[in-house]
Amino acid sequence: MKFLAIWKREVTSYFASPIAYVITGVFLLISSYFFYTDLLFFNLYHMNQTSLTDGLWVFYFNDLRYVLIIIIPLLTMRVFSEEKKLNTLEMLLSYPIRGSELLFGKVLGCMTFFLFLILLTFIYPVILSTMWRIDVVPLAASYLGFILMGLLFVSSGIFVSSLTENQIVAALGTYGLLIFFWFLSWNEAIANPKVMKILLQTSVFDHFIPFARGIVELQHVSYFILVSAFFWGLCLLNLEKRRWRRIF
Amino acid sequence: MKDLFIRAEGLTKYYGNFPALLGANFEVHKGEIVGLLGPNGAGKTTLMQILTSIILPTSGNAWIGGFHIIEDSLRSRRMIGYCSEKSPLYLDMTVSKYLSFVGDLKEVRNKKERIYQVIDECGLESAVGKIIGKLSKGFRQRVSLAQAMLNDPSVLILDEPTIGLDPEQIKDARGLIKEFASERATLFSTHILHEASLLCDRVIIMDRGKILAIDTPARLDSSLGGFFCINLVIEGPRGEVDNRLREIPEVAEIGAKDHLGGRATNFAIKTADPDRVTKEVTKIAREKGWDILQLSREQRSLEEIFHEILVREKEK
Repeated sequence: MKFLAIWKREVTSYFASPIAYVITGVFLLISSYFFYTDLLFFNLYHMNQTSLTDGLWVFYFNDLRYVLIIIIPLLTMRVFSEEKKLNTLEMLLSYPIRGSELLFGKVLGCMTFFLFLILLTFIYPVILSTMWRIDVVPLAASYLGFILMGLLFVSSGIFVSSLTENQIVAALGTYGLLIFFWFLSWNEAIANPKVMKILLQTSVFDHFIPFARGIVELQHVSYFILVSAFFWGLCLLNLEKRRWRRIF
Repeated sequence: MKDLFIRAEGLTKYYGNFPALLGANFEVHKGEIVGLLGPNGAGKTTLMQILTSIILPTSGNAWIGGFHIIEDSLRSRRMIGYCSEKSPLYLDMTVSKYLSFVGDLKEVRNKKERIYQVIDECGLESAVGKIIGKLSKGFRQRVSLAQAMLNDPSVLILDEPTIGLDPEQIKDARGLIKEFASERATLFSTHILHEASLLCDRVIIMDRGKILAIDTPARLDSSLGGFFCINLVIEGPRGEVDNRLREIPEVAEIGAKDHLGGRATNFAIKTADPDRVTKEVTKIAREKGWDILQLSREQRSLEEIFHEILVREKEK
């Protein structure tokens, strides 16, 4: 259970750092703005035609994806790059701990902070529930999709962080990767239909859309977990490249 | 073999085409302090990082407490306490929280008791609740040593443990290393040769990735051969003593100066065979009734041995 020690250290370190409070502030500001505008939109155009899920939450969660692109690189940039810069990674590698325990402790630490941010958004459905009947199941599906997408973004960010000891480079690299995920299926107007099919299969945002509509499908859940695992694998290979160690 | 705690066989490490370590073979036993000496780039840190499983050797094998560093890496790392040259610590943590964190990673039994014990041994009582980032360099070094000692390791590997400390802190750190050494094998690197001569039972002299010599400073001195200096203080007629000493065939050079206000003479005798000269001097003094006040063989300092070994290697 050594990953729990790493997890505890990560979580403590996040909440001890001023950057965590800035991230929380920015997240709340943007997410509340999106909620406000999406609610206005719902009131004006959809209130009498469609449900909250189709008229509000789908727009709200699709907007929140952009907030993820902004905050996740800031969350993950220090995970390994700071350890490398301070040489504490060298010490961690000299302890009797597996690379996988180290990585999962880090991923879990980052996800804990991310879940804390998500928890703060629960206030919006709680407020709405005083005025409308909230359909919990589709809303929970949307949150599940959002968490899975967050896991994928966190995993890719942690991988990029393991490549450099410079936090700015790690953040910029992750921004590049996430924006690439975002743009992947944009050129549908000019792309060959066969190519487009493949792009849509690999596009992160396209896999999220069903969740935003309140639908959970195994293929989309698997996609997020497999792509996250792909980045864990890359990260472990990168961590272990200087030495041989039993990875799993 | 029971007390053989570190064993290295042909450890080699290449960074690209650059040979950082070439065929290192050595052993360190329980209770021994072995110093790694060498100029920058000699391969000392590379050797230590291989032994601690931080990096993989290109070839060769090593065992820590009988466990192979590659095939049984987790177990070999359980035997080690490692203190890196830069004392990398989490500067935002308090000393006690940091040691607790390390204790979890090192699977320390009776963690709380052991932390108190190590805090006591390393003299960290006054720093326990303080943030590491606010501690002096000397205290950070102690914290670094404390984390290395936390798992009560059989093998202590210390990379430049006294670098950057003031003289008082250096004295304290050396005291701690000596204190910890009795029940374990200690391997430590240093640039300070005087420190090695104070602490080490044996030294390993390295240069450009190669081990040039392994032995006690005294044996290295003998093995180098060449000339030795004998210091003789004798009461007798200076001219006659000087003549008799020059008659000894093994004497290469003599220097003389007054000793004790002129009542005795201090001779510095250079010779390739100090044992023979010592015997001859004693014999002559007995025959002539001269009083020998001092007769000692000056051992070369570790600095001189180190430089001579390096020079000989370069001349090869």
